[in-house]
Amino acid sequence: MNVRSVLAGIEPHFMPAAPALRPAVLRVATGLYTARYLGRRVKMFSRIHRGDASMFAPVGPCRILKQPLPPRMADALVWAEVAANAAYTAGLGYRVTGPLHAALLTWTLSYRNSWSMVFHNDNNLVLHTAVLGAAPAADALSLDALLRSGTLVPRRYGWQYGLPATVMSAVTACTYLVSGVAKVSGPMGWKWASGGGLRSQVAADGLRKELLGSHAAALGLKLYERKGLFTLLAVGALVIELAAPLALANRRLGQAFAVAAFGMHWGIHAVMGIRFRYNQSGVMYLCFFPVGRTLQKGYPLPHCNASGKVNSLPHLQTSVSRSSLPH
Amino acid sequence: MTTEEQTKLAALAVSAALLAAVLAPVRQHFRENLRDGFPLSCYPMFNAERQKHGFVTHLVGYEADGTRRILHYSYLGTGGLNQVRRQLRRLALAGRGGELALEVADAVASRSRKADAAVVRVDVVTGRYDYAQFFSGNRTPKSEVVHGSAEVLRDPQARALRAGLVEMDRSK
Repeated sequence: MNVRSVLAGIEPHFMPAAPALRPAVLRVATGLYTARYLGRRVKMFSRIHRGDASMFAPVGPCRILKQPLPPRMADALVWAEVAANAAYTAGLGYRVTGPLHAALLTWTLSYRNSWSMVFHNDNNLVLHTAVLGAAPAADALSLDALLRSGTLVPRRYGWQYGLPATVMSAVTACTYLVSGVAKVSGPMGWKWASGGGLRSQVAADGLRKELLGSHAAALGLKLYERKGLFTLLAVGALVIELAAPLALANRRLGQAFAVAAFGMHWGIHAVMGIRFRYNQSGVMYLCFFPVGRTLQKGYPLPHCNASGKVNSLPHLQTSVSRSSLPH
Repeated sequence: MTTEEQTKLAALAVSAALLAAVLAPVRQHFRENLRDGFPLSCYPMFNAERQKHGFVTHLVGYEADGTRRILHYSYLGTGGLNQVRRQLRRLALAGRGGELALEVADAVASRSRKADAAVVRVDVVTGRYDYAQFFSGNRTPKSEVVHGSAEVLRDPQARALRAGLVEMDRSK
C-alpha cells in the first residue's frame, strides 16, 4: 500500500472537496461569537490584569512568563486581539490576520485563565479558531474574496475547504472523550455512572454558589434527592462523552452527537447553573453541519485561476453550481 | 508524489498532531500530581473525590445583634465567582485572611449596599458543610475556621487612618 492509495482512501471522508463557503461560514460564526464574548469582557480582563500578582499561575503559552505582564501591556494585547478578530471575521488580510487572531486569542484567554482558575469552556473556542486560522477560511464571505474575485461566494472547491470542519469535529469529539475518561479514571471509576459523583458535584457547586453570595440552580436543588434521575443523567453524560469519537464515523452520527451534547450543556445549565457559553451558543457544533455539497470521489474539480475564478470544468463545460453537483 | 499530495499529507500530519495534543492530557489522570492546562485540559474537576460534605472558604458579615449574613464574593474582586473563590481560598490558606477581611470590610463600608448596611464585622472563614443538611435548609456549618476578621468602619477618615496604620505595620 503506497501513500497515494492511503490518501485516496482517506480523502473522501476526512478531506472531501468542498466549497470555499464551508470554512467561511465557520469563520464568520466563530468570529462573531468571539467579538461578543471578548467585547463584553474587556473591562473585566483589565481589572484581572491589575489583580494580586501572587495569584498568577500561568497556563498554556503564558507559562513562558515568570510574573504577570505590566497591566497596560496585557490590556494592549487584548485590544490587539479584538482588532485581529475583526479582521478575521471580515476576512481581511487573512493570511496574516487568520493565524494572528488564533495566536492572540490563545494568548488572551490563556492569560485570563492564568489567575488561579481555568475556564474549560474556552478550550474549544481556542482550538477551533486555531484550526480555522491555519486554514483557507476566507476564500468566501470575506473582503479578501471580494477584492480578489469580485464576489463573496466564488465557486471554489477543494480538499482544503473540506478538511477544517472535519478537524474541528474531531477536536470537539476528543475534548469530550478526555472529559469522559477523567470521570471514569477518578476515585469512583465506573461507579461514576451511578450518579453519585454527579450529584455530589451538583451539591458542591450549589454550596459554593450559595456561600459566595450567588444562587444555586433551583432545579438542581429540587432534584437533589432524586438519586435515580442522577443515575440517568450520569449514564447519558458518559455515553455522549465516551462515544464521542463515533461522531466521526459518519455525518448523521456526528449530527446526533452534536444535538445530544448541545442538549446536555443546556441540561447542565438548568440543573447546575453552569454556563458553557460556546457550547450553548451552538457555534461549537456548526462544524457537524457543514455547509455546501461535497464533490464525490473522481468528480472533476473546477480549475481556478490565480485570482480564484473558475476557468473551466473539463467534463461539465459549465460553471459549477449547486444544481450541477452530485447529490 | 505531486506537490498537492505532499500538501495533503502535511495537512493531515498537522491535524493528527493537533488531535494527539488534545488527547495527551488524559495521561495526567494516571499520575499522582494532576496538572491542568489550557487550552489542552485534563478536566480535573471530574476526577475530584467527592464526599457527603464540602469545605468552602467564604465571607461572612455580622450585624451588631450577631445576625450572620453571607457576603457577595464581588467585594473581593472580579473575574467571576469561581476565580474569586479559588483566589480567596489560596490567600486564606497562605495566612492572609486578616488582610482580606480588611479589604472586604472597607469595600462593604464604601459600597454601602443596602443589604449589607447593618454589617459591623467581616470574617473570612472556611466552613465545613453537610450537603444534605445544607440543602434541606439548615445552613449552619458543621465546623468553621476563621482566617481573619475586621471591623467595618463607616467613617472614611477612620478607614484612611486604619489603612495608614496597616501600611506602617507592613513596612516595619
